[in-house]
Parts: sequence; C-alpha cells; structure tokens
Amino acid sequence: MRPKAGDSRNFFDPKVLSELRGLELRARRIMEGLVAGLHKSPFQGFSVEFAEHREYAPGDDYRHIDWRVFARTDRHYVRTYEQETNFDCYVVVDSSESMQFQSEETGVNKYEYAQLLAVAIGWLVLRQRDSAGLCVFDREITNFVPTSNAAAHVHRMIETFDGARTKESSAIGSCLHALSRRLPRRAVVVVVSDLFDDQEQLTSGLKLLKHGGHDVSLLQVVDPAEQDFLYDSPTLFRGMESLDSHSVDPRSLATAYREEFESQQKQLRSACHNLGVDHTLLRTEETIDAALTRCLRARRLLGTRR
Amino acid sequence: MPSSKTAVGDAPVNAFSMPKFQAVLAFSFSQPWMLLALVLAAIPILIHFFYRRRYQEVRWAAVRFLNAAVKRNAQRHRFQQLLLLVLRTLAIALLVFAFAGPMSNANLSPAATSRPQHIVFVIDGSLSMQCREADGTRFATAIDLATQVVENSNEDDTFQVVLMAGADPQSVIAQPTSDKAEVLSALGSLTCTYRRGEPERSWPLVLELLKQTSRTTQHVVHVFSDLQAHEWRDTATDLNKQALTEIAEATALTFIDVTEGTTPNLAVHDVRIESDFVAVNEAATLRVTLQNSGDEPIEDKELRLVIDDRVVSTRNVSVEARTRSTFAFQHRFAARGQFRVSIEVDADQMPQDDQAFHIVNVYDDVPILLVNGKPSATYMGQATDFLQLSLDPKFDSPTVWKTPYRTRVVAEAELGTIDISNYSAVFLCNVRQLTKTEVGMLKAYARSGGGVVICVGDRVDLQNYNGRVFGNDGLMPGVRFQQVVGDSESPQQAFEFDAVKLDHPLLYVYRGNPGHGLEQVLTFKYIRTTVPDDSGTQTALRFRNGDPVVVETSFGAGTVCLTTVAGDDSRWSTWNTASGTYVALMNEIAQFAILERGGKQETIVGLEWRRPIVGSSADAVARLNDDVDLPSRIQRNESGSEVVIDEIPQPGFVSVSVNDEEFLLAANVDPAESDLRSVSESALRSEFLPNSAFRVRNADTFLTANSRSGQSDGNGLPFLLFAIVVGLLMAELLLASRVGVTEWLAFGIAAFAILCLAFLPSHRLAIVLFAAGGVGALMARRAWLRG
Repeated sequence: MRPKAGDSRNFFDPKVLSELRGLELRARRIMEGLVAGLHKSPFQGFSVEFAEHREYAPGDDYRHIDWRVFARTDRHYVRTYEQETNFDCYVVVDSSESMQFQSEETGVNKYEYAQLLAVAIGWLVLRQRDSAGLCVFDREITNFVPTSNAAAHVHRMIETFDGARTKESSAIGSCLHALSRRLPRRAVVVVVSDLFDDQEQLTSGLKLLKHGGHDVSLLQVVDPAEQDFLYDSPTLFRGMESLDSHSVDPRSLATAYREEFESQQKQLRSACHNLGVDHTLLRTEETIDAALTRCLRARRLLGTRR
Repeated sequence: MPSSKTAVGDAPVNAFSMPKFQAVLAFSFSQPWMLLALVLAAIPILIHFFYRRRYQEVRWAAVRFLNAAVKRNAQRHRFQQLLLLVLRTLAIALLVFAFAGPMSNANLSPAATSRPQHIVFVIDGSLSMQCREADGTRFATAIDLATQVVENSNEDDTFQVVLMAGADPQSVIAQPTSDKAEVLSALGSLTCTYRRGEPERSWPLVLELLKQTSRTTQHVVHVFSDLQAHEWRDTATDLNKQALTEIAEATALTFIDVTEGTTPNLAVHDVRIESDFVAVNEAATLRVTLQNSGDEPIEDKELRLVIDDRVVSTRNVSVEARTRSTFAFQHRFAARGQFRVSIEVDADQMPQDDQAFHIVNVYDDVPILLVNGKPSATYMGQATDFLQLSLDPKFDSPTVWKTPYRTRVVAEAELGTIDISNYSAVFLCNVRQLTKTEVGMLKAYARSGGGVVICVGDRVDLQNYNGRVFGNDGLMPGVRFQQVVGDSESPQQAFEFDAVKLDHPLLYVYRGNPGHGLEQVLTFKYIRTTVPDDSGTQTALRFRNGDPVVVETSFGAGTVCLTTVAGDDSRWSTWNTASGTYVALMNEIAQFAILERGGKQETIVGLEWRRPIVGSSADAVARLNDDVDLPSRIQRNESGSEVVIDEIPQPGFVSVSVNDEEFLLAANVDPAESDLRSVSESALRSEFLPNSAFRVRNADTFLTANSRSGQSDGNGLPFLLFAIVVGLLMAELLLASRVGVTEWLAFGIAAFAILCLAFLPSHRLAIVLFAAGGVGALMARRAWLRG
C-alpha cells in the first residue's frame, strides 16, 4: 500500500503505519512529521572539551550561550565542544522472540515498533550530522552496523533489520557487555527492548556501559496487554522464549500479575536512577512521535541534572 | 393423614425452642425418589477433574511476571478451586433435597419427645370470621386447622382454647388438658359470634393461661384470624402491643391468616332518618349508607326497605370499590307508634351485614304538660300563653303552622298531683320555686326518658333553683343562676343572640338560612347563668357576650333544657314579637326533649344495653326478633333502677317489657366488621411486633405443614434450602469473578421465585421460576463450563 498525496492520516500511529509496507517508507513518513515538529537539535553531544565560539543559530540551546562574550560584544555566541558535531549514537535493538509479541488491539508488534524507533532515532542523529550506528541482539549480537554520518546510512540500518529476526531468547546483559567492548569511544547508546530479562544481568551490562563513559538510554517497549493484562476468559499462556505455560483464569490472576509488573518497573527505575540511565516505558499503542518526544524530553531533563 | 403422631405446627423460635440443629438432623421426604438426583452433585467434581476446559491460547512474552503471579496465587487458587467445587456440589445437593420435599421430623428429635408442647389456640370469633370463602366460613377453616393440629399432636401435648370476640374473650378450655377428645369437642362446639373483634382483650387472658404451665414446657400459640385491618392495626394500642410482645417472647407465636385473598363485600353501613321527628302522614326520608370494602365495584344490587316485615320499596344500586354511597327512601307512616324498619341488600359472602335495623317513632298528638308559674286573667298574660300558642296553636287554618303536640296547662301548685309520666315533655314556665318532692318527681321522669324544659321569668327564685334544680342532686348539676342582668323597665342596653355559631343540633334548622331572625332578637333582661365545662351540659345558644341563652343536658334517658330569657314577656326580649324565631325554637326544643324520651333505641350487637326505668320493677322481659328470650335484669343503684341486657347476641329487633311499658330496640352489627381487608404481614411486624419473632402463615401453608404428620416445618425447610442454594450460587459467581448483568438478572428472577414460594399458595410456579432463574444464570454465560 502506498500513501496518496494529501493523505491526512496520522502516520505516527502504529496502526496506520502497519498498513504501510516497508520499513523505509514507514520511517520516511515518521521523519517528515518529526521534522515539522522539531525546532531544535534533539540530541546533544556530551563532551566537555571546549573547542570554539560560534554565532548563535536558531535551534541552539540557550544554555550554551556564552554570556561573558555577550557582555563584551553585545552579540550572542555559543560555546561548542570538541566532539559536539561528531558524536556517535548506537541504537541497540532487541530482536529476541519476546519482541514478536503483538496483542489484538495493537497494529504492530514490539519488534516492529522498536525498528521504527531505531530508524527514527538514527535519522534524527544523521540529520544533526552526527554518526549513527545499529546493534541488533538476541542471545548475542547478531548484527552490528558501525557508526557513520552519511545521510544514506539510514538505509543500511533498514536493510539490517530486514534480515534480523530470530526465535531466540534474549540475553541483554551479556550483549551489553559485548557491545561495550566493541565501542571505540564514548557514545550515546539507546537500548530498545522489552527488558523481559534478568534484572541483575541487565544492571551489570548498563554499569559496564556507564563505566565506559557512554550515555545510555533505555527505551522499554511493551505491548499494552503485557502491562494491563485485561484478559477475561480462561487462557493458556505459552511462553515465547521458554517452555513455561500456564492455564489460568486471568481475572483471578490479574491483580497479582500487575503487581509483579509494577514491581519490576519500580526496580528498573530505581536501578536506572542510580546508574544515571534514562528509562522510558513505551506502549506499542503510543504514536511514534509522542513516544520519541517523550523520551527525548526525558533525556533532556535527566541531562540537566547531570 | 399420616400415622405418626408428633408435635405439630411451627417449630418454636425463641428461648423455649429446642436446638435447631436437632430438628434439622431429622428428615423425611415427601418425594424420596427425587433423592436419586443426588448423583447430579457429582457433576462439578467430574467437571473439575475430567473436563478439558476450552482455553484460548496465547503466546506470551512476559512470562516472568506470569510465573511470579501464578506462584504467588497458587495456594489461594487451590483453595478457591476447592471452595468453588464444594459450593457447586453443595448447591446441587441442596437443590435436590429441596425438590424432594424435606420435612424435619420432630418425633425423631429427642428434644421434641422430651419436652411436650403447651399449645394455646386463640380463635377469632368476631363477625367477619363468618364470611364465606370457597371452603366454608373463615371460622370453620380456623376450627378445621386447629382440629388437625390436635389430631396430629403428641400424647403429652396439652391444649387450651381462647375464643377471641368482643370485649369478653372466652377461655373455652381454662385448664391445660391433654385429653384430645375434650379439646376436639370444645373446638366442635365453638360458634362464631356477631361481635366486633377486639384482639387486645385476649392477650392478657392468654398470658394468664401460659402461666399455668411449667416454663420448661414449650409454649406454642396459634392465632387463627382473618387479621382484619381495623382490628389489628387501627385499634392498635401500646398496651395491646406490649401484651402481644410478651406472648411472642415467651412462646412460638404463629398467626394463621384464614382468609383466601380479598373478598368483596357490600354492607349496609348505616341507616338514618333525615328528620328524627316523624309525624303521621308526613313524608319521612330514610338515608341508607352502603359500604363496598372490596377492590371491585359492585353493581345492580337490589336494596329493599322493609317496614314491619313488609317490603315497601326497592331500588337497584351500585357502589364503587372502597367507597360508601348513600341512597334515600321516602315513606309516609300512616299511623303513630314505633315501627320496625330494616334495610336489606342482596346477600353476598357475608350476609350478616347485608341488613340493618332501625326504629322509627311516628308521632301524633304528642302530650305536653305546660306548668304555668304566672297566673293572669289578661290575654297572653300567663307564662304559658305564648308557649301554648307556639306548640299547639289550636287554629284550624292552612296558614297556621301544624304541630303534633297536644298541650295541657296546669298551675304550678298542681305539679305535684299530676302523673307526668303520661306526657312526653314538661315545660316549667316562670315557676317560682320547686319543692324537693317536685324535683325528685321530675328527676325520675327525666331519667326514664322524659323531657323537662325550664323557661325562666320574673317570678323565678334564683336561690331555690340553684339549691334544688341545679344542685349536685338536681336536674342540671353544676349550672348556676348568677344574677338578673339588664333592666326591663328602662332598658339601657340590649343583648343580641350569637346567631353565627349554629353548631348545636337545636339550631340546625337555622343553618343555611341567613334571614332566620335570631340575629334580630334584642334582649333587655336575662338571668346570667354559668355552665361548668365538665358537667356534660351543653350551651346551645349564647349571647354575643358569651352568656348562655339555651342550655341542655342529658339526664338518664331523658333531656333537660333551660332558657335564660323569658320568652313570654316582651319586656325581657323581642324574641316572641320582633321575629318568628320563638315559635320555631320552642318547637325545636320540644322535639329535642321528646326525641330523647325513648332513650337510645339503637345498639351494637355484643354490647351491654341498659336503660333507666321509673319505679323498681322486679321483672323485665326481653325478646330478640320475637323469638329468642334474652337474659335481662333490673339493676338498682343510687340514682334509680335500670333494665340491663348483658349482651344482645345477634342483630335484629329487641322488645323490652318493663311494667306495662314496652321499648323497642334495634341491634345492628358493628359496621367496622364489614371491612374485610386484612392487615399485611409487614404491617403486623412493623406496627405490632417490631422486635419479636413470630410467624405468619396462611391456611394453605399451615395446612401443608400439618398435613405431613410430624413435620414441624414442612414448608419452611424447602424454602430455606432454596434460599441457601441461591446464596451458594451467588457466592460461587462472586468467587469465580463472573458476576455480570445476566447473572444478577437471573438471580433476581430466582429471588422473586423465592418470595413467591413464601407467599403463593401454589409453590409450583415458584419452583419453575426458581429453576428458570438458576438455570438461566448458569447457562447464560456457560459460567460453570468456563470456570
């Protein structure tokens, strides 16, 4: 299906996007919308080594205006840093079997949603003339695309996704360890996963990345059904990454399930807070622009505290 | 009738009752084959273990949370499943039990056999119990039910019987007896009365009977009644409720409503003659009030006017539901005397109130004695002249008013020598003073029904009247002449009658006639008189300053009237000159005094009737409807003698002969008994016994309970079981978290069915409804299969 000119549908809506064939087409639709909505650079470098002053341009963060220079020259200059215009951003996407989950109410599964997010982020980074890379993992890193600031690099990311589907379970902890060894210098690392994995291993992996000086963001993608658990008839739940299966009456189990989910969320948020890692919970029913805006805002807020 | 003999009736519910679990443990079944269906109770177990539930299958990613939740809920889930299994199994088992007709056998209960029952039957014998239902009269139903209780009782059980009717309930069996033959004989000999029901009179007697037996005995009180609303609710008093509460607390109290639903009833509620003074050949209007107490209109019934056993007029009438309608008959009585008038309407299910009786006195040449206190040789100079002209004009002219009175004038000195009993009324006109003998004679005359009218004048000795006529032993005790007010020789002030308040029967004739003339009367002189408030003496007419003009009081069966203005003397007042009111008012006073001469000629069946008599005759004869001799007696007291009839048992005409005089009396049933509406059980509970345990049964449910010999709660147990089943199923749905609109709707139907089971005579409908409700609830969402 190809969208017609003047199509007024909301292409940030995962349900609408699911009607479009091809990740590239989907990504392009998202980009077109995002560009219209963004007014300043969404990603910032994190290097603190001063490089030079340059004249202020619309979209620059006012916090970087050098007021002393302004006092002397009566003109606005911003301070630039050594790596600001050339930072690396790795989008790390979980492609394990659990990411294939999709409930009836949503238009895309978690993996598709993660792909959209990854491409969108990559495109945004490249648009800032920074470098974007991609890492896809399940039990191990299955695809690794080094960073590049070429505009066409996003196509490579998309091509990478086309061949990255597994039925393996995830091992996010070890994968983050492996990733940290592969990163040549400090980078922005955006992990997109449902994080249905061992909490300690995840924390260990995050610690290692932080130890390496990387700026880490966790985008946890869940299906609404996984959080709300609103099933009302007896259901046999078969595990996607394990042999576990349960025949239960969801109504009687719903409260306990939600409590467990929230407990994990609490632990995760606590761990992320302690490590200085952004954590954003995204539901696949959420429009992509809203999701991206939310996680970028969270990044900035966290960034001000750092 | 089943052969086993056990304690019957409802199981006691109070401190005297046996432990309930003992009664519940002992069962028998009316349809034991239904117990085969108990195998159905295994269905939930089979489903639980063997049924492969139809789950929807979902591949699930967040298994770690599911694992944790399942692990956390495992114990609770197992317990819940077990509980659901038990609930379902129990529900089916109890349902089967309920359909099998369980009956708790009191004879199998050690407690029942060791503790004999003391059963008190309180049987309503009021008139309304004579109402005919499909299966006989209500009273007969009550006797039948009580008889069955006796026949099904244990040998050790004792009985007492109270007939509840009127103010004098009868203890038919005063001492507790276990002799069934005696009890059955007593029950068989009971007859329903025509009295009104007064339940509150019976409770003290019942309490007294209960004290005659040991407190270790189980006390059971069965009240068989139609629970007539006016008896049980309208006349409810705190004392009544208190006594009933005591009974409810000390016994197993059951009210058995012997009615069969709402019964239509058209009754003659009241008969009144429009003008109480009926003269020969003058048209008299009889007003008949019919009451339809039923819920449906009653149409085209024949209403008959019967005079002296002869139907003289008929008309067809219709009466709307729950209303009273009044119909009029006109009749001219051709001769003087007392006439027996009865009104009859077509008989219905309660014929006792389809007839009402009334005595009509027709007057002609009524003898009146005028006592002249002021002799005079001049025209209209005597004290009696104007009065005689007013009452007995003696002019044969069509323009002159007609009166039935025949007057005789005597001098005051002659009063003591005349037999005044031959006169219907005695007028004392300006009589100076009365001797003690004369006062005594007048008192005896008034007590026996005579009318005495005192007309004042300038010769009246105030002291003499205050001492003898108005003294404590006089004709008008408490009344006092104070002083003469005004000056007739040179009037400085005129007093006017208060012609606005026409609220005394004497003045009814002036109502609706603004130009009647009373307001034009000017009075220059009168005797100021005081009337005590609590003396029973009424002021019929007043001056505008509040002083009485005309006062009257009842004395024995008669009437005494007093005018404080001299009507015969134009110097006192313009009463007899400026307006025509003197003639009219004196005729009204004469009529008022005379009408009371016969005494009250109506009474209610079941009440005592008494009437003062002249002399002290040792013999009085009373006959009801010229057929039944009624016990009557002469009672002497300080004020004289009275003839007394303790009770008139039936409605009709009663003739009472004392000396040579004969009185006629009409005895009617209490019209309140004609309203057959019953008090509801809820009203009985809320208004009488809000905090006490008691049961209300109808004849069917009570019969059902007792037709199963030895079953103390033949109807209540299935009802209880059904209620438990409903409760279990609701708990099951709640537990299984599957309660939706459909289930609640279905259980609403089931609950309604339960109510039907409790109140409908036929339980089959209730059972079908219940089954529909329960099955509907289960099948609507296939709850069990999915659970």
